[in-house]
Amino acid sequence: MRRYDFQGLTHMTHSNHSPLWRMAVLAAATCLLPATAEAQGSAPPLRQTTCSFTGMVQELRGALKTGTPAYRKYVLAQLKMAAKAMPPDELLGMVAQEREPDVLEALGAALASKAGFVEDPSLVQPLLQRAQGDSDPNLRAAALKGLRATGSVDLMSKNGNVVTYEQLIRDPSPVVREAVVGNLLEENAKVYFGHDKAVSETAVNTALASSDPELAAKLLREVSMEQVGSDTVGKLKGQLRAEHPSLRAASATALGGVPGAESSGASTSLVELYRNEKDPAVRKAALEGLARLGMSGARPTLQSLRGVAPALDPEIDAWLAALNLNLQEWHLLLREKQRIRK
Amino acid sequence: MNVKNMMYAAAALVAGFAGVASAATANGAICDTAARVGSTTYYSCSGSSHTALDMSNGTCSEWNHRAMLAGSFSYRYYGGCANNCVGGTTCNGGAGNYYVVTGANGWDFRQLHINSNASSSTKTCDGCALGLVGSTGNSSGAHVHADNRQYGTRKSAWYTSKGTTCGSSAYCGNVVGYPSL
Repeated sequence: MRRYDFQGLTHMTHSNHSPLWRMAVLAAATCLLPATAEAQGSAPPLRQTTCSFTGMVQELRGALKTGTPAYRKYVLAQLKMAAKAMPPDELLGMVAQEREPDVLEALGAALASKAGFVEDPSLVQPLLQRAQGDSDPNLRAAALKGLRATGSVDLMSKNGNVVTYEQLIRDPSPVVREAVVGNLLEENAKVYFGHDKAVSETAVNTALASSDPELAAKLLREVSMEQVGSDTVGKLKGQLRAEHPSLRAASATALGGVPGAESSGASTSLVELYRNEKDPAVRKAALEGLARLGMSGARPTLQSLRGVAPALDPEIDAWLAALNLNLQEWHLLLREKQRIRK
Repeated sequence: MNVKNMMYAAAALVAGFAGVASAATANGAICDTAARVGSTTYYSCSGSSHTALDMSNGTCSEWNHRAMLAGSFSYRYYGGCANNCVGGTTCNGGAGNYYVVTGANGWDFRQLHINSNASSSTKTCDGCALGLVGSTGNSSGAHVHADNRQYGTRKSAWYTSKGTTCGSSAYCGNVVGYPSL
């Protein structure tokens, strides 16, 4: 007999006949009662109450308004735990109707967590619909934030790319656009540790679709490029000619992190940028990109650029001094260079 | 890390993606309250060196072998080993069917000896089923082996810092450690 576990392999235990999800809600909700009493300080006696998912959400609503950060974290964790074990219908209904941004974000996070647990990408469709179509920009942003630190790019793809970050970055509201950038940065760093090609390339495409150069620059500067393909490297090279200097600088930083097979072409582009650029910040980014591409092998290239912009020669010297330490990891080299010269 | 170094580290992050390692939370791998840890730094806590957690509930190919990390992570699957409940093979270098979550700076987290089923594939998920608790590879009896390595060397701090030892609960609702990734 195969027992698997309470969630089952094929959602078979999602049946309403199973009391297990009710037990999970009960366990989670029961735990909330003493915390509420303690939060009030006067320690009123515990009282019997009805446990339900609706009750948990009411507790969540109160915690998000007046709870301490630790209590809010606790309630959110309990909600996610209960959501994993219960049938999705009630949660889906709440996500579709919720009007408070903080609560919608928490419900969305619970729904996304459940989607990852049972491997059913379609569960996040209500979140995607609200992120794209809600009339309130704060609710659109909240729906997006519900997908933060999940495999949201993969989830969007498995839902047919009906809603994409490339579309959402064009939202008229800055809070939504900032949520897009926050999601991609967090997914790149905390879910994939910079190793996922799809997330990196989505970030580049999203940056190129953005009309806000600062947000686009943030994406290019802070997302790992270690897995991107030749097409994406070509797009980054194209952005070295962007009108906005922060976008040119961010593209130079991004080119410093491309895969080894692309490093030769990227290095040539960065040398050309350094020679022709006027903005010192962009030139500094070009030097950083060159150092990252070549590590200790970048010394001759960096030395060859001395005198091109005399004011930046100390920057070249700082890189050379850091490279002489023969550090083998980029974050250590970067830290040492910044210790020598900001 | 002193304040000065923290400031440099923060500056490094702002300057670009630098991939600095961080701690995750790992739960037990089996959603059965009977599941227990059987080996930690030494096999059965008194044998030869092991430096990983072995978890079992005394069954084979019955219970899901679950993704242990709390939150969404990318689990890369390495399969190809025939399911069994005895072990003693060299398939995949002794790891059997297994998953790896690759972190920053050479860190990874692995779950080994899986008996494969329809759930077994590379995926990004949160506590999902990876396969069944089994004994593929160099394993003596069905169990979940979990280790946290940097550049291929197994580390023990992730479970010792939690106080996990032989007999600790390996239930999926119980935290067993804080691996670096």
